[in-house]
Amino acid sequence: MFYALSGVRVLEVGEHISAPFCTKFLAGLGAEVIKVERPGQGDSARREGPFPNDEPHPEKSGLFLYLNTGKKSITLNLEAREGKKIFLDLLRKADIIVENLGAGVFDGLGLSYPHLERINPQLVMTSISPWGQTGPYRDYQAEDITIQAMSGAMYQQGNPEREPVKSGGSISHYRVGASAFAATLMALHHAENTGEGQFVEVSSMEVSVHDDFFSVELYMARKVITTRQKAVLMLPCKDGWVYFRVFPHEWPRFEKLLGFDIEQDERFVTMEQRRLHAQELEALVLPHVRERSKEETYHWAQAAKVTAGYVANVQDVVESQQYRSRRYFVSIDHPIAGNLAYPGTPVEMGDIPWRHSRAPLLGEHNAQIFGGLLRYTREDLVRLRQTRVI
Amino acid sequence: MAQTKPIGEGVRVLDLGMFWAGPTCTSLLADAGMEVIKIEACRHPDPDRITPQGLAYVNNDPGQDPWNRGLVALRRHRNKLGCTLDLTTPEGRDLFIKLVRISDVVVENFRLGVMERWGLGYSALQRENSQIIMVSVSSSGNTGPEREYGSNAPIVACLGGLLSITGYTDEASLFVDITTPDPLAGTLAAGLVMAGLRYRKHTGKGLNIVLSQRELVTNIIGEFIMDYFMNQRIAGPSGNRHPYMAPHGCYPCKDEDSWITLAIRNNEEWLRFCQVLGVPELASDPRFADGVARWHHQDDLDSIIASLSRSYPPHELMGRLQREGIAAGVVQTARDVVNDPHLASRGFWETVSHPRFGPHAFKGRGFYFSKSPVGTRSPAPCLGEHNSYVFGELLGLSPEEIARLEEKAVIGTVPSLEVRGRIPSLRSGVNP
Repeated sequence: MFYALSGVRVLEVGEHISAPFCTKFLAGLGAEVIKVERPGQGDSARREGPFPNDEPHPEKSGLFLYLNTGKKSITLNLEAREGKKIFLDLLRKADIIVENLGAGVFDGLGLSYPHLERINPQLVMTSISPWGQTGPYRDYQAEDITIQAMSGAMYQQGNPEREPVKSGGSISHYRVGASAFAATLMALHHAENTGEGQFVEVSSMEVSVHDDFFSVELYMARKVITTRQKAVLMLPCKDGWVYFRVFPHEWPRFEKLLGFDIEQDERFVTMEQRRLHAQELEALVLPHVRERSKEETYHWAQAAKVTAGYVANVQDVVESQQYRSRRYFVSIDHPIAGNLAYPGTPVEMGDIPWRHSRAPLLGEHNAQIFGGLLRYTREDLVRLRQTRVI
Repeated sequence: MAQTKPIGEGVRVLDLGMFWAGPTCTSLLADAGMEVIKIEACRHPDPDRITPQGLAYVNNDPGQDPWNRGLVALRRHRNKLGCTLDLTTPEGRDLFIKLVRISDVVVENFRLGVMERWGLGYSALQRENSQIIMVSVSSSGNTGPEREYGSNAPIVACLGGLLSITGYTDEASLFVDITTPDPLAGTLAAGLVMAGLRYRKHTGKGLNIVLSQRELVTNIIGEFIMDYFMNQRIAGPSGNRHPYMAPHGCYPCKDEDSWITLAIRNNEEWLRFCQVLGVPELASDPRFADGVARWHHQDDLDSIIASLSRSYPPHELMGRLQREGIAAGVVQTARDVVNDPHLASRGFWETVSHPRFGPHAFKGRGFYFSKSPVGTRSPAPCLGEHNSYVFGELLGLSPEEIARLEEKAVIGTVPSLEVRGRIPSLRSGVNP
């Protein structure tokens, strides 16, 4: 079976979410992804939950297990001289490095791209950082909330009468991981076609600004600042919330579904009018949904080709007929965490299967990579372990 | 040394993308140097041409051809070529097939079933070009009982589970996340195109790639799904709080509706924070002695911090805290973003000179290559701007044949009368 990325070797020197999310997709597409983790502690995601029964264990973190499917793990101390040497040996046999240790960290380790490029001219090196490798904020700290705030997204989200509120989870980290994925594969395409590798820089703040809807353009054109607003037609059903986000061309269908003449009603002709008369509009729609369940309402609207959705919680998602029939959730066995269901892949690559094998134990592939690939002897490995290089 | 060639040179993409997700995918491919041909119909132009997002027009002027002047569309379609083609007509379909024969990639994000209805499903395209890569940025995937349901960004944010963990802890979320799914899906799809091209190069085979936006949303809240499977825990919104960091939130600043976010990760940061704000007594308050204690006293902590943060303009406070290594970030408005010194110094903004509308700065994409150029080469096309290139040069039609297509309204450079009637600035009855 030839996978889209068969024969591609990736070194991930990644922590937490962004780089691992990027390389999770590379692994799913068939690349050999080797995580280079710090001896002893490994990826910080191993220490972050969720854990089964909330009992922390470095091999049982749900975040880590989920983000690192399909990968191998080696441990290597990049600060030690010998660790660096091994890393350079490994690099000769790799196509891609993806790292997110922070702006300038690789340079500080003596592993800057110009240096690495001399050893492997085809190497693609992708560096993900919150702010990018240059600029006045380069060395600033950031968590997900910092990026959501600085990118302009958060200001637009929430109750207009209250403080802005971030999107749940750590979505800015996932976003930048997706951009790194696309950019890395572009650079790989170039490297394989021309023999020329390059450095790929990805900035989380910039990716989040890029991903904003239209607030920047609106401000540039009209000096209007997009702020928080209540969603029109987010309505309570019997058991939750349903949201109608009806495309302009669907309004005649929506009107028919509701049995009245929205389109001819001056109050609702344009999106702006609908927003101005939101309360009246909602009062007209509410009786149609109040007695229905959220899923019933969703099917009722969608069957008439009116775009609507319900606010699904994680249980709703897991139990959704759509996800189930597509076998989106996959069951993966793990020697320590046991057999668990995981979110699968949102991608179908024709008939090529997605690679979903379990996440690696810390340093699980040391012998395979150092011994097999790099031909270190058993004595070398013992010594390296004793000196805490691996 | 010779200039490095653009990454995507020599790859031709047919872009049927509409609105946001599909066009985002192809905009990244176009930025990387592929020849992207945006295909619209005069009866069905990209909806962003009809109602430009935010009614934001270049130079704040809808002019006589507002469908060419929406700023968001000008950004998303830059570096692309544009032609018109009515795929619902036999001639339109036939010409599209001819284009498929000489192209590498087709990207579309129609409701599932639309391409099939036009006889342009993957198997039909593959018959014409066995190496074609087709990428469908779909709502819910191409199988399953809900496969033909429609969606947009906020709807998949609802259905994929993101909205259920977004919002305040003490009131229902009566707002939606509008920014997450589409650009994320479009970006990921651009990567999948690259993977598809590699597959083709090695196997000689085409590929039908389908991305489910709804499932992708679930992928970015994967840890919450794992928590459900591990602990049967159904996560709800947690406002601006964090599972273990405290303080972690959004606090008011001096100016009206101005806010700063803080994320304090450990005791060292907490001590420095108390120092910067000049409140050493807080550092020794037993309620806030360590991370666990702070987390359990977050209500007290947050109200104390809010009373302190109110004295500062947000950017000043951010600067002070960041200089001490604390993750503070202003809740920036669009004006702040446009004037952000960091973005400006990094060359994030790319100025495009449009022959008709003059120079304008647009957002970049957040990634850079050290050698390959990525960025703006040409402005977004007006509707049907490259018809003669596409149908004449690429397909070899004569000027007469092209004129005949125009007469039959298979192609054109002006939206149909019915479409123009839906354009806000033209609704007063002014037609060009």
